[in-house]
Amino acid sequence: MNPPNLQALRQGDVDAWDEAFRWLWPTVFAVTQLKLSRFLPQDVEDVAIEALEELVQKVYTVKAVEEFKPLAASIAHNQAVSALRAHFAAKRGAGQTQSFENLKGTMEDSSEPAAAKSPLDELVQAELSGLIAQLLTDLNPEQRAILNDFYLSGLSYEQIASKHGLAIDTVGVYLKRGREASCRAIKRQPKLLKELEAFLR
Amino acid sequence: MSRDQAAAKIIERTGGVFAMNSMNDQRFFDLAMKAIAGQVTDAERAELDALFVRGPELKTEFARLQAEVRFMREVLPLVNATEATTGEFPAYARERLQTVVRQTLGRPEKAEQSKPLQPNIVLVGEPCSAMRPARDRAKKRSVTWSWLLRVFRGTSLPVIQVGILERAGKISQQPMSPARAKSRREEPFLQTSVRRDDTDLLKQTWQNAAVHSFINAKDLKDWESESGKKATVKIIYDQPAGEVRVLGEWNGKTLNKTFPIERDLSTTLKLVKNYLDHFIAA
Repeated sequence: MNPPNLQALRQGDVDAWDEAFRWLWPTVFAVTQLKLSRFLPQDVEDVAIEALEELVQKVYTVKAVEEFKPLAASIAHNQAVSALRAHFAAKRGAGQTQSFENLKGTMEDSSEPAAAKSPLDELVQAELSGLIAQLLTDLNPEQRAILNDFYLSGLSYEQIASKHGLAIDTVGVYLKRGREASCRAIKRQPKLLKELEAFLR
Repeated sequence: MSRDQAAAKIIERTGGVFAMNSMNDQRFFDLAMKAIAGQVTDAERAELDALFVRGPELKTEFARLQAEVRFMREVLPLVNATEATTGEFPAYARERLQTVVRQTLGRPEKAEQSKPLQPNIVLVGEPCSAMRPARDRAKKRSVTWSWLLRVFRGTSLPVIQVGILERAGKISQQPMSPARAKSRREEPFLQTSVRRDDTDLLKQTWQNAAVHSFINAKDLKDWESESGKKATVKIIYDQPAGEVRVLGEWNGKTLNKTFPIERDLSTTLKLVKNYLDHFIAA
């Protein structure tokens, strides 16, 4: 599917927006599913739609249509985090939102908010969008495939080497380069850097 | 040198002079990553412990790597999501989203595009109005001058009336997924009356306007459809529907616009006021 025309989107063209919604849907849906499927599975689709609603209002903030997907992912992420916070706050009966850090250890089932918490939660949408765009630029597809295998699929060095036809030592080099790329991206986000440092204390 | 700086130094060494150190760095990195992932063998664990004894600052670096692993596990799925291609956009969401497009970007309805009298309105105060082209900003300035001239010359202004629906009548619902609709049906519906703050806010925004309160949706509907003076603008705060509607007629032009309350009433009223001011001045 091709990206829609940015100029047409800014003019509110119906067809261009129909195309944009179809093009962006897999991204926003993937993000909301990732964040909500465990605690609020019934809200996955609606939060994804709400993310697209917010995205419409940001059409003048992007310089190129390619910026839309990182932006969509960040909006969907933050909307999902808000939905989770509201859900946990309601569950506590206070009707007030508070940080996951404060919730930690105070709930009967403290594993819920702890599992939902992420160092990315405190980033505002623009920071998160910038971070995703930066990593998309810095990590080539091969690097990303190896990082996914290690961080997300939990494959061992040996399994990754075998899967990609690499020497075992090379896997470590790929992971280290991925780490350097992520460090560069993190350094551009002072708030994220602070969040990660908080984990070290 | 602090422990953090010493640990950071290890990562930054890449030159030939430090070839041996770089090898050690890579070895430490591999052992640490395996340990964090729970893939370390007993021999590798012993090797890692020996490195910690020789360089205690590596424990800080190890903790940093743990935090970064957590970060990567959170951010990689978001990066991957930007390349997701599966999943079909739900048809029921289309109209809802196109309505947002229309309200946000001011696009007229297709059927109305050919009408010559349709005003081209700039919505001042829109989230992205600052990003609009300079010619739009120039237009905004000229609209302001036109407004000042009109006031200076004593041109009459429309009568503004405010209507408030205090109790829920018919609930206007946005299309939602079958999953959420099911879960919502199981929740009790809590109905609240309009807060005094909200009424005060409306009175402050249109100080000379007559304010009418309604306790049911039918009375409000009747009032909305009453045809009074030609130069009358009605602003309706429909709390159950979560929206502010603007209806009326001015200078031969018809007003009929709905503003959903997305953030809060105050923000929405600012949008409504800007819209109305420009409509009257145009």
